[in-house]
Amino acid sequence: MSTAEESIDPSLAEILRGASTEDRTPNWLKRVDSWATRAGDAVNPILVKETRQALKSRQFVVTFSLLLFASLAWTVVGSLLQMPQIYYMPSAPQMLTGYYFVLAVPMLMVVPLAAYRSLEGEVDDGTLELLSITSLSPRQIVTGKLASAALQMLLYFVALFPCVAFAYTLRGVDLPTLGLLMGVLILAGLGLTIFALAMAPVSQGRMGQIVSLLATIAILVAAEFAIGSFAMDLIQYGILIEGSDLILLIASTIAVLASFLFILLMATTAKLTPESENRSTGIRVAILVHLFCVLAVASGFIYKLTEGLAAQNPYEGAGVVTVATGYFVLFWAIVGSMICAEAPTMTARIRRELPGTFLTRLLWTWLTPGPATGLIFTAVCLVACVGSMHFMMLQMASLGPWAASQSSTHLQMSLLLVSYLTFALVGVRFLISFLRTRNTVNVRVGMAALAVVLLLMAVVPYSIALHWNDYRQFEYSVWQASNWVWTLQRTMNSALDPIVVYIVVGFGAVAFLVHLVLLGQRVLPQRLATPERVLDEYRRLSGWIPPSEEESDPLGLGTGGTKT
Amino acid sequence: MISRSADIPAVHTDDSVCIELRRLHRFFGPTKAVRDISFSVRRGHVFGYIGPNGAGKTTSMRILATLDLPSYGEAFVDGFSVINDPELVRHRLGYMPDSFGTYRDVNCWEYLDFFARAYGLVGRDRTRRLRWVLDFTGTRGMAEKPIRGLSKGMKQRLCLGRALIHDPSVLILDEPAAGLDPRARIELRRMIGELASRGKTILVSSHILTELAEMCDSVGIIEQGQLLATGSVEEIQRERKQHRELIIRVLERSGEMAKQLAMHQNVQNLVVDGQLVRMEFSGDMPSQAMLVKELIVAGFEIAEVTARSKSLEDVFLQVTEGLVQ
Repeated sequence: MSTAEESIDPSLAEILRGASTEDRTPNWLKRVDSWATRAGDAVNPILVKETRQALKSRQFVVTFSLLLFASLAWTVVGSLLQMPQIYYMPSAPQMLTGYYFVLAVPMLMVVPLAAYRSLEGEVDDGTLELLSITSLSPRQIVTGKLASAALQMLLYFVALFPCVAFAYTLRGVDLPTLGLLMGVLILAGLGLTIFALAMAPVSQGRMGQIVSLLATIAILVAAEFAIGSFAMDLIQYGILIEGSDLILLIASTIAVLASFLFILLMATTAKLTPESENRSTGIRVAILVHLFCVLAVASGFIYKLTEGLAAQNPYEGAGVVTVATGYFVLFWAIVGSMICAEAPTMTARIRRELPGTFLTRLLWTWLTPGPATGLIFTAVCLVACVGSMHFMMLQMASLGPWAASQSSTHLQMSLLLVSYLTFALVGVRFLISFLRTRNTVNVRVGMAALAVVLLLMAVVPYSIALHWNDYRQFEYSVWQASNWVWTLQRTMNSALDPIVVYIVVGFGAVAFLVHLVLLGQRVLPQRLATPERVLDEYRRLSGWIPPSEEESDPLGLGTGGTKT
Repeated sequence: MISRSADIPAVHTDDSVCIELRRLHRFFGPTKAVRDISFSVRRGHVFGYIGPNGAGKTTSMRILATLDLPSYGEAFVDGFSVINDPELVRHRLGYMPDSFGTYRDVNCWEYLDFFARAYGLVGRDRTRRLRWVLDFTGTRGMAEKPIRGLSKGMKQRLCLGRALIHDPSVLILDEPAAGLDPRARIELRRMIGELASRGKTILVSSHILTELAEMCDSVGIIEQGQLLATGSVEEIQRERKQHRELIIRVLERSGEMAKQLAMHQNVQNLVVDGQLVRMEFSGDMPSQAMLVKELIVAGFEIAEVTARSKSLEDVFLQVTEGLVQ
């Protein structure tokens, strides 16, 4: 082998010199090579490419060098600053604080931004289009980018690990605290990377990209600050919660955050998926998983805080119910408006994948893509979530007069919030349908449409009444029922006439029913059969079925040349 | 069972329709980028797609490459719909866009290796395929060079290599010769010719009409989103009743011969220039032979007969109106 070839990749060297050279490699080494090749082939190609790129990039070299230099510098400077106490007093917190910042900057800022730039660059340079016509799925593209970011984080983490171990030997920070600190840093890094990846393809056009980048940086800085504050407290005071409470808190946080990040991942994947394919069902399943997690966590906390629903004054339990109800309404206002602005495209390809049997149609039709089923999905989930929280409130109502009064207010509030939101989303649905007749509408327009509808619902009756009363102050009346701001404020003050609740609920229900009636059969698209030729082709591609003797191999790969 | 080495590209011999566009429309708001385009390309044929900038070539090619959806109509590759079965289409299709997307900090070999992996090629098959592509495109010497430093011609070769890496049966090449120097164009034409001879179905768009005329079995002329003419250059000429230019060198009596020719129904625009008599002849080849025979029988001493068909450029200029959307 020539000197030039010695320095390059073995596979490339094989290509350059051809396969004619006699092979004298021992058999055991060939087996190892074969296993290594198979392992390499099983790895996501995006991860391979991104790692090759990252390890050669100036950004990685500079960041890694700075990390090593900063950690070394802090080890020397930090130790000298604590002389001579370092010999007889616990000094780990001070040293660990420095190491935390050295590690946090690349993990919470540099890596997520690099992931953002990487995906944005694919969109900008047109390479995403080249990727989208390969066998790679959008999910593989996104997870490949995420895996590459995780690998870089791992390298930074491993590089700084000796310093962290050194800090631990100086006493003052126990092992669980150290573990929790590192766990928080790694999970936060991964979470922020997922967030950055979700932001990358959102805006197209120079101005949109700049705004998107600035927003991402702002959120990363805010997150760095928030996580940094938490980390400082953790280093200084250690873990203040113990036993099952700590486990419950960690498990709850991980469940809620992980399920939320799963939604972001699915949304990013959907953004990269062509319109002809089903982009919606995956996100809806992720939403269901997230809601289930939030419900479980909220119920667990209520149970814990009310001592098994037996506390005399369940203030904290009621607080959790209120927060969870507010979260669900806000969540569904954002998510519901975007779902209602989904494209109604129902290609034959999507219809082939629809539920086919009576039972699956009965259970899964609401996961079918499109704004029509989306509104049903939103309304049903909203009612289920808010209803579950009210069920928890009812469980506490028997614990005393305060809880009973809270339960009554919560019922009114829940009914009003659900009805207002349903009514507004029906409005969004029809507004978007109108806009779509002449424009290309993306899902973000749904949020703007919801803001417009909500504004009109509040401002129109108020303006009319103001004009009617010659622009003088006037009292709340039934005519202000659609003015959700005023109505909700009166509900919180327990000053609302119950008739208003009935009217609002009635309007919400009627709007939903009108939507159902007007949509008719469009809510229930029929499944289409997949042509036999297409099925055969998929079977051949996925099942390694060889082509017949007469048929040529269009891929030119022989038998067993491709993986699926 | 067929067990064929991956480094030997597939050769397709049957003559079925491989690419088909049916009433394709694509609207971008009020702009009608593609309007009711229908044509088909037979397996192993090279189809030239000609039109001015903004005519709708790239839009329809992107739809075929499963990168865009038609507003109305359908497109098929090997009988599989680009809308409903894009994965099956992508396995059969290599696409070379007009702009070359590159990655930073990646060399040619890594670039091709990445796309080979992305197309699902594994193990030694991938290595063999990479070797074949590097050889075919003449980029083996560039394997270690970073892409960003390559010349335009080399980048085009690499891009063609990327499109060929999974040995597709159909190639869609959007302006592959744009910005190339003459040598690189000749090389590209040679490569396309070789691929066509191996049975690949190729849809190629270009502004360099002389090159297209040489390598294409048929062409489609598009303007303002509409397909104005399709077929072989001769067929389009025939459809458009295009005339051939005929030049006859007669040693004597050129004026007398011109008078006789003027009475012929297929002859127009006669010009006498010394011994040369130029005319536009609208008849077919047998009629042309008959005309020459008649002149010889009439005793004219004919020294030379030259016939020149109108070029693809002439056809293009006649068919299109120079309108741009």
